[in-house]
Amino acid sequence: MKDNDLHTSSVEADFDARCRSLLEDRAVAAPGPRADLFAAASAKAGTARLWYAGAAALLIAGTFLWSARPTEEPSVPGALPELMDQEIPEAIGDGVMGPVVDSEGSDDLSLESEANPVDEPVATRDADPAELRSMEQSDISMEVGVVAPEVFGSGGAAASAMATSPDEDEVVREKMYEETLQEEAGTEEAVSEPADAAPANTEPANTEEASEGKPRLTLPLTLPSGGGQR
Amino acid sequence: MASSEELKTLIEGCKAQRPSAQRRLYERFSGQLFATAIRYTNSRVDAEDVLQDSFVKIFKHIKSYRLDFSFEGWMRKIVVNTAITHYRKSQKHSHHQDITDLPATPRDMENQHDPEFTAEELEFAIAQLPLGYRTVFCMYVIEGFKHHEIAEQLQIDVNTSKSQLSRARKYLQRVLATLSARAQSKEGTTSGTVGKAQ
Repeated sequence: MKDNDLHTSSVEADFDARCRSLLEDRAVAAPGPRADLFAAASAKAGTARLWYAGAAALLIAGTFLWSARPTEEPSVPGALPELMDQEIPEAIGDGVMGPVVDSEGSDDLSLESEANPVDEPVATRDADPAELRSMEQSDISMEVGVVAPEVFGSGGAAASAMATSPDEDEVVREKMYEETLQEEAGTEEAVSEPADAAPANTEPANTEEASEGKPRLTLPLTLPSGGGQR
Repeated sequence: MASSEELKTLIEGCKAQRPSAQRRLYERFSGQLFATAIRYTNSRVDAEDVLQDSFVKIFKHIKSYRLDFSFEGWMRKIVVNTAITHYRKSQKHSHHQDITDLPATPRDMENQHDPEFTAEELEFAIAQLPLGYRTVFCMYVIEGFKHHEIAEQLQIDVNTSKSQLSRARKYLQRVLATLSARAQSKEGTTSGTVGKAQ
């Protein structure tokens, strides 16, 4: 039985060896290479090179931007003085507003409004110098708040022109009224009657009644409709 | 046959990804590798796919090849591995064909252990085998794989590999004996006819 197996295995081994020798170097006519065979192999290497080049380019660009950033920052504050040097448009005096409203512009407007013919009689009235001084003070303080809305019209600019707070106006008016009362207290007859009501009510009509036709009391009449200070 | 120096130059050119070197390498070895691919596939079209895929792998991994090994053996191993990958894929979509489905041969031919056959006849006989048997036979006999390696590669049992090899070998012997006997009978007929004519 063992001899039979050995014989079989040796026969198989011979057969295998013959088959191997016949087929090992066997060659047949092969088809031509696929069109993209060599290109594909080269393209893979080329693609890898492209990836490396792209990564390097990104790195260089990033480094450049990073290094350029600190030099750009100072240039931004440097541009601000140029903006500050720009002049404010002169057309403000005509009532046409530019985009930027400056406090100086509102001062100019108030000065111009002093030359308003409506207010001229106030300055030309006959009155004692102390009274006129107090009137001038009140005029200035009033006109800042009163005339500006006419010029600016409605909008946010008017609000900025009325930046002088109503409390300040009230204080000024009260002071002014007290001064006039003190001055007139000794000379004239009882004017103190409206003074009692005045502190609570600072409406222009009351002050007009109290001062009986004094020019400063007519000033609030120049107020635009609905443009009161309160 | 290119000399070893020429082959070295060719390999270096392929390592440098030069298309001209790759083309020459393909022309030089494609016939041999295609013959290998045919043995592991069911059709010429499949063999062509295996060949092209194998060359893509060869060009891609040629940098890892070391000159102290047989370059042809290294390439053939790539072709075999590629063919096995194709075989695994094809197994998902095909039913198992057993060797018993094949037609029987005459008993007297079966006992002929030492038939004379040529390479073409052997290739013809191998082509008659089911793909599984053929793959096991070629891996064991021609490529020199061990049974456990075959079992691992084809994801089959070691005993299955052994039995398939044994049955494939017997079947080939049978077919080759038949072919040999036919050729001998043809020769006898031809010589008889020639003798009668003379």
